[in-house]
Amino acid sequence: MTTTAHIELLAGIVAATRERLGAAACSVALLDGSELEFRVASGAGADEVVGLRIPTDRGIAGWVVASGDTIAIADVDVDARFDRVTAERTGYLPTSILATPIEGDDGPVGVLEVLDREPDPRDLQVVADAARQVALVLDLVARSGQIDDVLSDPGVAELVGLVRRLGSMDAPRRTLAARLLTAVVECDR
Amino acid sequence: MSTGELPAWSEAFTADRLTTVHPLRLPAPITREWAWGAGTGAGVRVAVVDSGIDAGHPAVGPVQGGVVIEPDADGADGIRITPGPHDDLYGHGTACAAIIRALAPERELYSVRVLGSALTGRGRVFAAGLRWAIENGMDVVNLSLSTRSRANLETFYELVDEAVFHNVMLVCAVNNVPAPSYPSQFAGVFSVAAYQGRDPEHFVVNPRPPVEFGAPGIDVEVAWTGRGTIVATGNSFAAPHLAGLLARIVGRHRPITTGEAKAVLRALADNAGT
Repeated sequence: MTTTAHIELLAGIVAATRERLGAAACSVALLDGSELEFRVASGAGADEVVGLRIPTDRGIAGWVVASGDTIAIADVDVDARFDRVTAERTGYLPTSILATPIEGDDGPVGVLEVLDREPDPRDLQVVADAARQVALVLDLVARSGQIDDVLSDPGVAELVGLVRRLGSMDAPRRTLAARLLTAVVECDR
Repeated sequence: MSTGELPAWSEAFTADRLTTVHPLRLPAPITREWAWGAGTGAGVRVAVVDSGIDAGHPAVGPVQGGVVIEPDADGADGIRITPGPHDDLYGHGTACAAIIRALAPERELYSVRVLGSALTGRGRVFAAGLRWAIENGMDVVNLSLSTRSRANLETFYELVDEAVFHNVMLVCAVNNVPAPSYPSQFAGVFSVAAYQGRDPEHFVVNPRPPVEFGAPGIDVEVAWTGRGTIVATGNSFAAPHLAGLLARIVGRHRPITTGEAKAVLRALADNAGT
C-alpha cells in the first residue's frame, strides 16, 4: 500500500464521518515524537490544518492523546483545555468539539476530532467506529512497511526471484524442483 | 496426600491460625445517616491518580503528598518515581480532587501524577501509579482514566486483586466511548459512568455490569487549573463523586472491605428496591 493510498483512505474516513454527523469539520492528527501532526481533514479550515503540528501538552487533542479518553465539549470557550491560538491558525473557531483517541497496540497514536456536529445520540459510537477504521488503516500501513523491509533484504529478494521462476515451470519440473529443495532442507538438519 | 497433611492454603483455617474477623454490622434498613451521615472523611487517605493536582486551587484544599511517575529507561522497571509537590499539567486531576473535597472535606489527599509528557509506555506508568497508591496505604483511589490497550492487562488484573485483598477501594471511570477499558472493566473495582442526576450524594446502580455505578457527571461545574471552574461532561467527573462518598463511608466504618462497601452503596442507590 502506498502512502498516497493510505492518505486517501484516511481522507475518506474523515469525510464520511463529517457528513454522517453533519459537522463543520473532521480531522485526524497522528503522533510524531512529542507532537501531533494533522494528516487529513475535511470541511472548514481543512486546507489550513493539514500539516499543522501541535505539542501534546496542550489543547483538546493533546489531552485526548495523553489521557486516552474521548471528550465532548459543548462550548470550548469555557474549557481551559481549548487552545485558541492553534485554532485561530486554521481560520475556523469551533463552538463544540468531539475528540477521540486512535488506539495503537500500547495506547493512543493519534486523535480524531469533529467540530460543530449536529446533535446525534449515536455520535460517540460514530467517532469510535471511525477511529477504529483509522487505526486499522495505520496497522495495515505498518504491516506493509514491515513486508517491504523484509523484501528489500538481498537474500530474500534472490529467493523470491527463484520461487517466481519455479512457479512458471510446468508441473513435472515444479514437482522435481520441490523434491530437490526438500532434500536440501533435509540435508541441512 | 497422607492423613494429617493439609492441602495447600488450608493451614490458614487451622484452630491455632484462624483469627477473629470484624464484619460490618449492617443495620436494617441501611440509611445514609448510618452510612456516611455528617462524616467528613477525616483520616481517610485518598489518592487521585491523574494529571496532578493544583494544590493552590481554593476548591481543592491541602494536598498531603504525592509523586510524579514517568518513564525512565534507566529506572527500575523503566519507571522513575519522584516524590514531592507538583503541578497539574492539564487541570483534570484538580477537577477530580475538588469533587472529592466537596464531599469529604477532611480527607487526606495524595496526588499521583501519571498523565503528562509521557506518550509512550503509558500503560506501564499508569500501572506503576496504581501500585504506588496500593503500597502506600491509600484507602480510596480515584482513577478517572483508563486504557483501552490490552498490553498491560495482566498487570492491572493483579493490581486490582491486590487492592481488593488489602481493602483499597479503586474507583474507576469507564472510558467515554462504548468499548472495554481497563482497569475499569474488572469486577474488583467500583466502575462509574455519568448519569443525569445532579445531587452529589445520590447515585444509581446498574444491574447489568461491567459498569456498576452511575454518578453525577453531565454538565457539572468542576474546578480547573488557572480558571476557577468550568462546566464539563464525562465519566471522569462521575468517579470522584463516588470516591468522596466512599471516603466518608470508610471514615465511619473502618475496617470495611471492598465487598462490604459495595453492599452499602447498593442498598443506598436511588434505584434500590425496598
